[in-house]
Amino acid sequence: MITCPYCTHKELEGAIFCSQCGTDLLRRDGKPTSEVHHVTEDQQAQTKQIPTYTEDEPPRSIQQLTLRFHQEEKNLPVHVGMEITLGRISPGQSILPDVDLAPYGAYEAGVSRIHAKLSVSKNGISLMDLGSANGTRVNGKKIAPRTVCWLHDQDEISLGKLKFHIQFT
Amino acid sequence: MNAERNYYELLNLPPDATAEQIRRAFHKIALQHHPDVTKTPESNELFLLIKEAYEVLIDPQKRSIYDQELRERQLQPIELNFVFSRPKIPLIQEEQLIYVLMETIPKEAVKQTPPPAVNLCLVIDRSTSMQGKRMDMLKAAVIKMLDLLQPDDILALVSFSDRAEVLLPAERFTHPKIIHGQIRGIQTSGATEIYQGLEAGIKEVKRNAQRMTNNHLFLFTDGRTYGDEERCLQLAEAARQDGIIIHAIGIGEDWNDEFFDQLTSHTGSHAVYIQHPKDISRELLGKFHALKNIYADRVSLNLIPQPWVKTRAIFRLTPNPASILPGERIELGFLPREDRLGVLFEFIVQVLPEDTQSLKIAHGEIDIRPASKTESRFSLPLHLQLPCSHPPLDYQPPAAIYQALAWITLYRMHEKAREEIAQKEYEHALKHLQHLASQLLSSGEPRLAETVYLEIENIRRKLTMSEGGGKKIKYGTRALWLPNPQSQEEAEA
Repeated sequence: MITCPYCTHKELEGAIFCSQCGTDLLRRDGKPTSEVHHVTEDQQAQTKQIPTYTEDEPPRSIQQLTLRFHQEEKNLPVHVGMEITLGRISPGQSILPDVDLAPYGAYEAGVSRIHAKLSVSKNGISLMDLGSANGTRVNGKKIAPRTVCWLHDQDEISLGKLKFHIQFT
Repeated sequence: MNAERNYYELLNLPPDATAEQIRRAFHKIALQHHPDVTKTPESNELFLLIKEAYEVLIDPQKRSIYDQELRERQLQPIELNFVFSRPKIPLIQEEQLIYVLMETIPKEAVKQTPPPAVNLCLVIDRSTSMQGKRMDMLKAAVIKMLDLLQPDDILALVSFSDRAEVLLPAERFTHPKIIHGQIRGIQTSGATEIYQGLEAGIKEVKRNAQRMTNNHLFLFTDGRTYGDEERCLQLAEAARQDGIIIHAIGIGEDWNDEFFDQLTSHTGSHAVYIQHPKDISRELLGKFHALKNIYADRVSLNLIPQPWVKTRAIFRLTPNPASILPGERIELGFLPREDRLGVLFEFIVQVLPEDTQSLKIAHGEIDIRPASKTESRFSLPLHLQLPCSHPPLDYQPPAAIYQALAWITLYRMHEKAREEIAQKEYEHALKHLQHLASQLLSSGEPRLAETVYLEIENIRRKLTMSEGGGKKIKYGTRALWLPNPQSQEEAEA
């Protein structure tokens, strides 16, 4: 059995996507399934460092995310259940990202038009690369596309070559 | 592993190679790929294949049988290609899934053949609900289609409500003026009884079905039929046996998509959802154009899974995405002259004995009926087989399978949600739909995602999905299976 890292649904060995939530079961961290097969959920929690919040003890409620660039900052008020796409707006584009990074030199840095997505859940804040051309890094480590990556306060995020820090308040 | 590898190409030999040449070529290539030299598992496999090729070619009797088979294969107007989700089946102590993509591809020569004649009956719902824009657009579309008919095509016209009228019996089409009048004169009234229209329409197609190939019926309706579904399915089964293919075009939101999918998939076709009456013309002309560009109007498959293996699901990816019910005899639909017929199989493999060397997944044959009268039908044998290995197995599935499954997964999430609603498991349904919406958003399909969010609201408030929303999501996610799908946004732009 394969356990979906996102929703913990069980799938048969050889499955490629989770039938419950559509998550790609193969490409996370570029690991082949046969390895993942032997990893227990606890180990996964450790290696992935999923914040261990419990039901009784809700996470400190995050009211706002701040993206800190070299010179400037951008504040994003947030609530649980929210999804924020990051990218850049260029002329003639039909689908617009929620946060336009063009003013911060996104084009030169190789940010895709729809590059990545921030999700706010009661378990914390996560980041997903949406299949961008130049990839996404968290604290210098490349994350697999379409895979949930949990974020911590003050993490450094790079979309292509555009770097910023994320701050939870 | 493709069993269709050509042994001559493998050994780099001309077809008329002498025994001496074969021996020398084998020694040379075998030395390069000998497992003792290369020490990789892949070359072991290649080495075995090379050895097999040598053993066949060096034996005059085996070689002549092989040559005969090869000649037959090269004479076939089509090629079969298989892609497996894994190169080998790992021997593990649990059930596993294996995906196989089968592609039927017409060869170059087929593309040069002239367009086949069509034997077509249009069956038009004239019930009260069709009144106005729907009927007007449909009439205009049919009149436009008349211009595309060739002298050897046969057209019949049937309209129905709770009874059917044959407006134009199946004949070579000669007096356009009279037919235009007949079409314009269709009056809307009464209820929808699909059985009536279907029966009269099939009768018309059947009059020439023996003499002709490429026999089709287009059913246009906007409503539900009550109580005659079972009889309609029996008609479809009989039509299938007569080689008639039933296509259904549902207009608006009130028709029964599950029934239509069943009705059409019996004969290898699929249902189409038309949201706006203005799209009727594009759909009808597109469908007619497709019929004139068919190489084989009917491709059927007889596939028997071997011990340890079960077929869990079958999906047609091209030319028309649809879910196909597994069975002994499967209608795969038609094969266009300039496209391929792509079908994805999902097999469950049970726990295999430890010493299994290779697994026969399924065998059977594919039966192809060319639409042109001058060609006769033919069959090609199928053998799906994979070697086994001990885990771990590091692999990435081929892109074609990966991409198709990415979208099929979304389609199935919606199907699952609809089942859950039917069983009043609303919480589960909501969860599936929420995941679906979020996947659609991150895959660049915000409009379809928006439809899903609206339906989530509908379930929360009314414990049901809207008819239109359900169809939009179903046919919207299904349209994404095509290798280069036109996204919703582009289609509507």
